[in-house]
Amino acid sequence: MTLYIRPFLSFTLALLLTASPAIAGTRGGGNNGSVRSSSRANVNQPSGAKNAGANRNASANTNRNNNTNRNTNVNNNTNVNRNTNVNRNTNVNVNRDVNVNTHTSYNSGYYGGGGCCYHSGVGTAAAVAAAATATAVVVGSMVHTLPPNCTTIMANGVTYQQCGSTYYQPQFSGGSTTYVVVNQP
Amino acid sequence: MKRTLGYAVALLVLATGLAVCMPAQEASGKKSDLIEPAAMTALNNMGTYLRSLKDFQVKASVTSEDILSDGEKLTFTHTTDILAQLPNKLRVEVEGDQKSRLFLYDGKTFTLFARRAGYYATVDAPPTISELIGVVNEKYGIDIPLLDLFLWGGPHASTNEITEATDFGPGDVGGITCEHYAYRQPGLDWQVWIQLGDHPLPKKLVLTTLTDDARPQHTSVLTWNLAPSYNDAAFVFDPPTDAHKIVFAEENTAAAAGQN
Repeated sequence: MTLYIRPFLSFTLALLLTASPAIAGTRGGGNNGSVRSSSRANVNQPSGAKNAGANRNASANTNRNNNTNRNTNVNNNTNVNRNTNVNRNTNVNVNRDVNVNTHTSYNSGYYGGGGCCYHSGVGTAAAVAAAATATAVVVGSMVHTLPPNCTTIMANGVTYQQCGSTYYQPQFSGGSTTYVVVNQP
Repeated sequence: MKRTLGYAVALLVLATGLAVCMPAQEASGKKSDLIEPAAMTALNNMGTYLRSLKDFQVKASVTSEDILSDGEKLTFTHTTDILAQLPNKLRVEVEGDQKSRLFLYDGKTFTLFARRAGYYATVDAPPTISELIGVVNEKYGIDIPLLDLFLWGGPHASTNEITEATDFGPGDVGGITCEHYAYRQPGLDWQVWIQLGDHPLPKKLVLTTLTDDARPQHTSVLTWNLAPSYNDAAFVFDPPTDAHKIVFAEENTAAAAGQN
């Protein structure tokens, strides 16, 4: 009898151990990698733009089938949507929370930026926070997400985020919101 | 025996050498064949038409892709709503998976408002939209959404970079018959569906980025309103009481701070 029970018990224990959830506050896996590239959003580049198409390999394709099935019957539809009634809301109504750190700043790339850090959301906040406070003491360093428990303060007409003893100045970097560590204002 | 072998090897090397050279010559000779004049004419007509519009509203449903460092590909969507009065008034609203943005330009100042964070920044701006596009890109690394609509048909269009251009026949976009064209240029393949008839507007755009093996794509489906109704207040920013003013990071300092 005991012979049968012991393996059963250890098996169940093993199951329970592996099934137990990861440490609360962190995800038990997933991809926390950074963005290496984003789809270009524009064909034309503004003058002086960073050259996203830096790979100037303009070798022409010699095997090129130019003629595909060409249907010569073209439906000449000149309908243009002429909706003359536009609800133009000129009041910028904003419903938003003040807790900045739950909305991760994410550069989706259409601002021409190089992309950055991809955070999946609230679950990683604890892990990110630990990293942020460890490295963020260096004035001038830039982060994309604030640690938890920050308050917005104004000093000399400039907006800052105070998180514990560290001060951050929010700014737009290429369209994304980033935070630079500054000395106490 | 040795001599014959030597000659054979020499001949082989020569033949291989020629074979390697030939395709390059062939390519430069055939390069002009890869550009269909009709496809370039259509692109130029579209650009000319866009530049002739005095004002317009266009709404775009956009799907874009990001590639993570290990190659995983993610898709995000957003909608972009543009109201433009040429040459110097612009209102762009972007609502998406991860961000909400408002861009405003009234000919004098440019404002960017990040709704969810409650931050906005304002700077003095040049007198036209096309100049604004260049300045905010150079100084702040910001791309005005759908800036192509303001550059095609103008001096900053990259039409001369195109190495291949093809007309792929009719294509339907949202029930409207368009002609489907595809172009290739360094680092980018792109396709446009141009509405047929008196209003050669771009109805759909697909950009395939070639500088990453994963080839992320950016797709926009456009709905146009050529008779928008609005007033000047549409281009002026009225900050909500709980919004906070911040600054734009200048491009060179952003790079130094290690944009990842």
